[in-house]
Amino acid sequence: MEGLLIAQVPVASALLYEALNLPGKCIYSDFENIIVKFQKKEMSLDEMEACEQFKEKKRVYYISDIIATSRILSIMRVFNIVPAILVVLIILLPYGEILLTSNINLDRIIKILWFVLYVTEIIIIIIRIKSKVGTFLINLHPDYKDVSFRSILYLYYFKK
Amino acid sequence: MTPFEVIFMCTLGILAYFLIYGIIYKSDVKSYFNCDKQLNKTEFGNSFAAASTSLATVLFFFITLGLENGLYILISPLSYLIGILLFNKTILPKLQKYDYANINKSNAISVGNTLGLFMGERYNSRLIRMMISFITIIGIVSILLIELYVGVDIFNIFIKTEYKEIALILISIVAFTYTGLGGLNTVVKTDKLQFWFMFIVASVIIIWLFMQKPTITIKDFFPTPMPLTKGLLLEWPLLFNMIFVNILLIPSMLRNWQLISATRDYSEVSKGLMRGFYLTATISALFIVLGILFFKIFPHTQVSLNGILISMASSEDFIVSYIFLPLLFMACLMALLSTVDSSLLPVVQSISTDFIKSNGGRKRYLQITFVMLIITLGLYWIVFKIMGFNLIEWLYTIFSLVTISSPAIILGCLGNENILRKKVIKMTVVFATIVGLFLALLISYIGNKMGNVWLIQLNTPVATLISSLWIVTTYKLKTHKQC
Repeated sequence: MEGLLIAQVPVASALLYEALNLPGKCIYSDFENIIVKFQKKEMSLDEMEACEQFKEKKRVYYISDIIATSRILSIMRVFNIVPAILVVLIILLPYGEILLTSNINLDRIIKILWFVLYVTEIIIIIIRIKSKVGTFLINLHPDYKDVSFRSILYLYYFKK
Repeated sequence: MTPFEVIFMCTLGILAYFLIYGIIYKSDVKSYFNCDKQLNKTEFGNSFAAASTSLATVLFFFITLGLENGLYILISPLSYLIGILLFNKTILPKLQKYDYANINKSNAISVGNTLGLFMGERYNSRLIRMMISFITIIGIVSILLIELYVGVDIFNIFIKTEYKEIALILISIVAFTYTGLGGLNTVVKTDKLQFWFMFIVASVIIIWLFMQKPTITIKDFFPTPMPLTKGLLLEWPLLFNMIFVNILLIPSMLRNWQLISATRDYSEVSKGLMRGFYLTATISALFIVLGILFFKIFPHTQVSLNGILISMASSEDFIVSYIFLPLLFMACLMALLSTVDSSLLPVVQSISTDFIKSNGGRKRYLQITFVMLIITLGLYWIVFKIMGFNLIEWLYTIFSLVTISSPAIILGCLGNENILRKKVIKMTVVFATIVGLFLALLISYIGNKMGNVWLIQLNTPVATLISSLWIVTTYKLKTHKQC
């Protein structure tokens, strides 16, 4: 049932679980089937009806999404504000579907936000690696003044 | 991906950017009102221009008046220039003499000085301090409401009309959060970004519009002047309202006093005001030209900002629908945010200094910001939903009311301290200002009842004139008696 509930918000919780392969995923026995069914729009009438019933209980989604958010943040170990805001947006935007005009395709928007989130994470990882390498180089060589690429390039190509 | 989706993404991006900016660069107590360093003329000018270029002004210039009256509407910023020159020549030297920025020495480190505090000191009256603070706060909150009223409408292109208040709440939360956390330092920095973004977007779109070779004549920019019986370039009531209100607006805008307190160098203030004028006049001219050219090239566009946005979205030209449209929408959003943040911060400073008399503290400022958020949303609901005011009525009724306090402020700066502190002068200032306030509201009410826009436009000029005469006559009589 929980899986069904999450699958109802495809662009938020379900993708979140699916994409990040959270450990919690295994708890929901029929989770993957429902995701596939939902994506292919092959749900049975009973399942659709169950989904509609869950649609009425937004609070339940909300709680499941909050759990997902806290998990994603703790697993990423990233509390940087940019990914945090993106995750919040990805999770909360589906609830805003009723507010938006037909000019907006929310699924597409959220896919883009996911893409931006991945790119942001990659940038953060690169910055961290750069920082680690820089710190390592500073320890290695006293002439390195800071961890910037410019400083490293300067020492390599001009000073030496 | 549709153009509306691009706009939606850009809106999310901008709101997230300002939120992040406020959170990352949150100020401490000393830097909250920029008391730990001084603003320079560039920062002063940019901030002044960004705050003056509101979405309501852009909309107003852009659509209604610019199309009807062409570049003659530039009389408005030019009258602003007269106000700035008079302020620089008369009031600023006095502020330097009394050292306005440092008069509140006990509190200067944390909260700076405010108009209310300075006037309270000059008149030696708590009542005048409260009265001037109250009127100027009402004036600035009305600007905030106008901005939100206009701002909410532009979101109709992707938010259903029945839910448009959601956009209002979202925009308010973002603007109030980054202003509340970041303080003046953040507002000045974001003002710079917001101003130059608007400037560059308007310039780029104008260049593109000119490249489309529209069939324009000089008459489009300078229409045939109307007969003198009707007006001089602009209709008499509008002209009178513009000149009168704009000249008196400089001393009664809390925002200007806050910037002076944060600058503390009076020659920089003088240059900053002039720079602010040039920038405001240039960007106003750009938006007027943009509006005139746009309706020449897209003649079937509905005459409203949303009409322009929808017309651009339905254009088959990729540059118009996918580049210029999101840019223009973001420029509008920047105009909205810059005015909202610049209106909110002086209110926070004035409430914490003039009413609560607190020694500052981030927690206190955040509490006031939160209360202001609730009050603003509540007022929006009461004024526009329950009372059913429309933009133009609200603009003329309340916005210019702030200038009612100008005679008291100008006298407080220029008058002799010994005479100002006489009971009769203090009482006259209080009564004349309150009577002026009610007179302006009465004229506005009668104008609204009769459906007479002329009467509404003349509400504040007439009321201010009467209260000024009352105050000046009493002051002169007292001076004469003293001699």
